[in-house]
Amino acid sequence: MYPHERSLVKKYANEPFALIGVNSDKDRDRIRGIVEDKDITWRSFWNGPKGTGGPISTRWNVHGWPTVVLIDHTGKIRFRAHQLDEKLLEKLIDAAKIRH
Amino acid sequence: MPRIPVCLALIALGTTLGAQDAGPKQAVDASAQFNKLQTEFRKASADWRRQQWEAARKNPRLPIRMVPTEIIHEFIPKFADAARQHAGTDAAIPFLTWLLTADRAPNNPHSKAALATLLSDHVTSAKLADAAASIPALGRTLGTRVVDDAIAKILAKNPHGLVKARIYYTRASVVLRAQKVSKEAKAAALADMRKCIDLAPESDFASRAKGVLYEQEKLQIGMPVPDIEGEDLDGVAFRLSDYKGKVIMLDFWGDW
Repeated sequence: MYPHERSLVKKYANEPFALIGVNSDKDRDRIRGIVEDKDITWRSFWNGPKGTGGPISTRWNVHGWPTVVLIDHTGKIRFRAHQLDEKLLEKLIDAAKIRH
Repeated sequence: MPRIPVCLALIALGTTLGAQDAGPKQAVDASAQFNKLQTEFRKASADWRRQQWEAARKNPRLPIRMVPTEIIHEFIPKFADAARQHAGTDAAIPFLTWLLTADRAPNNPHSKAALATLLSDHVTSAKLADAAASIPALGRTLGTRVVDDAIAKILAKNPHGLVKARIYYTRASVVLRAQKVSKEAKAAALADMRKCIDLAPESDFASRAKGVLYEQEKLQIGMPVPDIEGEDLDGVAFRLSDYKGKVIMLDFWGDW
């Protein structure tokens, strides 16, 4: 999981792309340690002490992990699934670059 | 200590277990009895699964079975005996609920009998909530007509909001999970979710129902993404809209 996400962040470091996590670990101190150990450089919302029952995932009706949502540069939802569609991500980033 | 009082105590205990009145003592006994039986069943199922994996490792051509049918059938008489022992009282409901869902074979007599007893003896009980949450999902096991009739009867006769909320929640989930859903069926399912929220606003099911409605109304492909306000792992507040103009990959993750 992490190596794949790390490679995406690296690959698109100079592109209009942001990886934002929603972390559903109950213990924020423990997960902060893992973020340092595993070199997780991207930012995450914390879903709170209820873990997978926390407010963000409950509101978004997420009951399976991981869940990935892609949002294009105009702010529209374009994709939601348990596994990333990398080709679509690349297309969305290309489209965002044309506009820039 | 003299022996006689101990013997008397044992006789007294015997009569208490056989007694018909549903005092708190009996309720405690029944719930301990249920937990014990369920633990035994889970252990037997786990052992069965381990044996399956062992056999499959030795002979990779063996088909792997996921449902411990023999174990379920071994335990059905035990749960049925306990249900009979507590017949007519709320204490029977957990055993009947187990019997309702244990065997998923279409038209199996155990599920049918359990449903019939739940509907005849317990239809107004607050303890019916777990059974209520299962019944709408048992169309393949019980037949859709039997399920629809059971739902109608519980909704008409049970006065407890949580029981009805769980019926509505499961009924709507079954519809929304299907591959193809007509517009009308979807609208009816979303109406069920709203009823679930109204009937038991503080329940976990209401939160989930709100999530389903939010996803249907705000999170469909092509819709503008709603903002998220929250804190990062260091406790710093931020919003999803801080990243507006970029392609965002929102990744729901956990380290487990």
